[in-house]
Order: sequence, then structure tokens, then C-alpha cells
Amino acid sequence: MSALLLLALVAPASAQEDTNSSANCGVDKMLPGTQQDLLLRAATDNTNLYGAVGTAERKVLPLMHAHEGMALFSYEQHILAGVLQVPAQAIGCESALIMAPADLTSSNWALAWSQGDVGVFYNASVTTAQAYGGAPMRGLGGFINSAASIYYGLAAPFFPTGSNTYDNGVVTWDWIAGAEVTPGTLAVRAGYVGSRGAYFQASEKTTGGFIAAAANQSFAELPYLRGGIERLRLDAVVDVIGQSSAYLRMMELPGSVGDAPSARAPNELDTFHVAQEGLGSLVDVVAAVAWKPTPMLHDLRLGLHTPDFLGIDDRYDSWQFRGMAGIVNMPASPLVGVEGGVRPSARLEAVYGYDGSSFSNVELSLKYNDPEVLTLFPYAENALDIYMLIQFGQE
Amino acid sequence: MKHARVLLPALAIACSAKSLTGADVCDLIRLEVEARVVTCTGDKDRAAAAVKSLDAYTCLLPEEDTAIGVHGPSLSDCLAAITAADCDEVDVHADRAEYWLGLDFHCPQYIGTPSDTGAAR
Repeated sequence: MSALLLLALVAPASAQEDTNSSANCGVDKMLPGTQQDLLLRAATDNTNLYGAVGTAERKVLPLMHAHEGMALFSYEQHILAGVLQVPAQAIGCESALIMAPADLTSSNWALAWSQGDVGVFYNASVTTAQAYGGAPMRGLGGFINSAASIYYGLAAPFFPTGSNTYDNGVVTWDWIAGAEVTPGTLAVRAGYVGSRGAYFQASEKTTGGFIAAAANQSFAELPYLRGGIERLRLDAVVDVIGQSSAYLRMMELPGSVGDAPSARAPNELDTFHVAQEGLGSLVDVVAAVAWKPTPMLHDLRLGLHTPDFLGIDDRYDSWQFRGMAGIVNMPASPLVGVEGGVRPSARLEAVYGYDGSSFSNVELSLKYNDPEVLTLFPYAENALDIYMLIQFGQE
Repeated sequence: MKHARVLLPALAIACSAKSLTGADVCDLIRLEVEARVVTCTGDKDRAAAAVKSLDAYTCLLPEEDTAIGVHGPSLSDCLAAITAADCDEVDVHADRAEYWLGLDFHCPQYIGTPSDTGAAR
């Protein structure tokens, strides 16, 4: 299907020479300035949060905790399309100067195994931040990045990690390998990140309580810190009131870009999140308030889903769907030229699950102005987040 | 199929880069000045004053013209000079257009007075 779409995009474009939507319209070199600096920073944030460490925390470790004694294969592809626009010199376009849309991508391959109270996990990632000219090259670029990640994923520890910067963007390779011990309902994990970072996580299975910290490549800073209760299930009333979540998150918003010896301290976005998911097995309400940098309603969304959407344990060889819409309110980030304010937010999700001696989990989603995305990338206003996860396992 | 012939090229155009016009290039320079002042001073009002000082000068590029690629390399030098402007100097001269236009030989090609050398000729 995607190949057909690519062909359809290339075919009409190839007949029109030197248009901005033609396949041969490309970025020769990004122009220096704020937007280029922002893209380079976005590349780092993308690697820290959607690379090997992020996928291990979000998609591999929870499944290890849910299945005691198992082998797991996992593939994740994430694209944040149109994270920002970068001025660039172009080749093969109708003009030699363009505002080039830039995309962030991440491709992750993971393996995990556990037996009794111990387990090991491995995850390799290829992340990119690239500016493009014509739409066909955006599609082709994403496909090539994804395909190339297979080869890296197979033998990442034997290759150098790190980033290569090109005239139109950045490519970063990284991996994490670690082990877990799970005495009782507690799980403690520690990992080594190929780019010389460290990872630690502890969680409690019954309450969903957790604390997590991911160090960046130089051990120098923690990009995020959060803690709380996530998806507390009271079995007696779960069919009526659903699952409850409440947690605090402290997030540093982007600071100034460019060379500034006395750089201004960036703002923090500190928020308290509550969610009641699965009211009457159908309705979700998600809200968050911020108290820093200024008190405000940060997130308010209403969702509707099919009855077995929540929780992999509840899906029995079936596709489940959810639609969610509302508003997101972001504070101003003057250091990166973001005015902030209220924007519409929407997401569509489809999940497939099968749980037995062998189990599978497939997740697909489209997110527009999603609060999680805008918190990480405040300048990604009106960007489209495209996500795919495929997991297979055996107990 | 008929819809696909219309929709897919439209999608391709929507997902593609936009050409910069002469006016866009001048706006780009103003935005970089604004960003540099905010970075160096943290003061949004001073950044606005810096942009306002540049408004007193003329954009020397044809407003709707997209055939401005010939200026690419020197535009790169101009933007690089603004981005690298010394913060101590910026703190003193932020709202003086003459400071920003004097940073690099190439900047006056884009914003200045009609008598300046550069693109207007």
C-alpha cells in the first residue's frame, strides 16, 4: 500500500520538472540559524526519548513484567512528520531557497527473554532528523531509514554508536542491553546504553507505581522525571469506573539555541495528570493541570473506544479502536520562538492483541497536536505523529 | 481512481517544501535577529524593538519573487553572522538596525536602503 502511494506520488511529480513536489527536489544545505539549531536539538531529544531507551521503557519492559518467563520480539516505527520548517538551499526545486519540512523518525528492534525472577533485554535504534524537499523523497527517506535499521539492529553492539550530521539532517545509532530482577510484584531494571548512558527503572505491578530515569549520552542531565500511579485497576469496580491514573511530571522545556555564553535558564513545564479510562468500558477522560511556568489547564480530552481497547490482557485475537479529541494548552517558549496557547488535539488508535501461550500486540496510531508530543517538542505545532508497534512473544 | 489523480498530487504539494519569496527572506532575517536578542538578553520587548528598527529599512528583494536562489550562499553568511553575534554587543546594540546590518558584508544585500549595494542593483 505504501509502495503504491509512493509510486502515485512520484509518477505525477516526475512529469513536472523542478517543482517542489517532484521526486528530485531535495535539500542541498540547511541555512544556519534558529531553525537549524532547533532541528539538531530535536534530533537529540528524539534519540533520548524515542530511541533505544524510550522503547525499552515503554514497550519492552512492561511486557516482560506482564509475562513471567517469555521470549519477545518487538519492532517499533515512529515518525513525527513536520516537526518544524527549516530554511534551506535546494536543488531540483522550483526555487533555490525553500522552507523545508523536517521529520523525526525512529526505528527500534528489541529482543527480551525472562525466566523466573530474572530476565535480559536488548534494543537497538536508528533515529533521524531530516529536512526534505519534495514529498516523494520524504516517503522514500522514511522507508530507507526503517529498512536500514534492520541491519543495525542485528549487530548494534559491534558497531560504533553516535550521530552523523549531514547537510540535510542527523542520523543516530544507539542500543541498550540490560537485565531485570522481579522479586514478588516489584521489578528493578538496570541497563547499559551503547552511547555511554545508563538506565534505571523500578515499578510495582499491583498499583502500577513507578519511577524511571534515563540519563542522556553524557550522563549529564535527566531529560525527564516522573512518578505516580499509572492505571490502577480495582477489580471489583473496573467494569464501571475503569482504570485510574494520576502522576506528576517535571519536564524541562527547550532552552535557547545557538551560541550564548550566558544562556537563559529554560522554563519548566511541571504538570499533574489524572485519567479515568474505560468508564462504562467505553469512555476515557484525560486531564492535566500545570503549575509551572504558570498555572493553567494543560490538557483536556475525551475519548471513546471499543470495549476491549484497554490492556493487552483484555484483547482476544481482535482489533480494538479508540478516538480521542480535546484541547492542549502550551505555555509560551520565547527562547525557541513558540507563542503557546490553546490548540485542538486529536488521536486515532488501533490495537490488536492475542494473549495465550503465545501472544502478540500490534499498535497503530495517528496523533495531531498530541500533548505528549508538544511537551517534548513545543515547536511541533500541527505536526502529525505516525506510530506502529509489532510485538510477538511466547511464554 | 479519478479522485486519486486529484488527491495524490494535492497531497504531494501539501507535504512538500515551500519556495521562499523575497519578502520571506527578509522576514527570515528579522526573525533571526529577534531570536538572537531573546537568546542573548531574554527580553522579548528588546527583541521586538530590534525588529522594529529593521522595519525602518527596505527589503531589497522583489516581494513575490522566488527566483532568489542566486543569493543563497551570501544569505547563509548573513544568517550565520546574526546567529553568532556576540551577546555582550547585542546587549548594548540590540535595537540598532545599523548594528545588525553591519555584522556582515552580505546582510545589506537584503535589508537596507535602495542605495545599498547588492540585490537591488
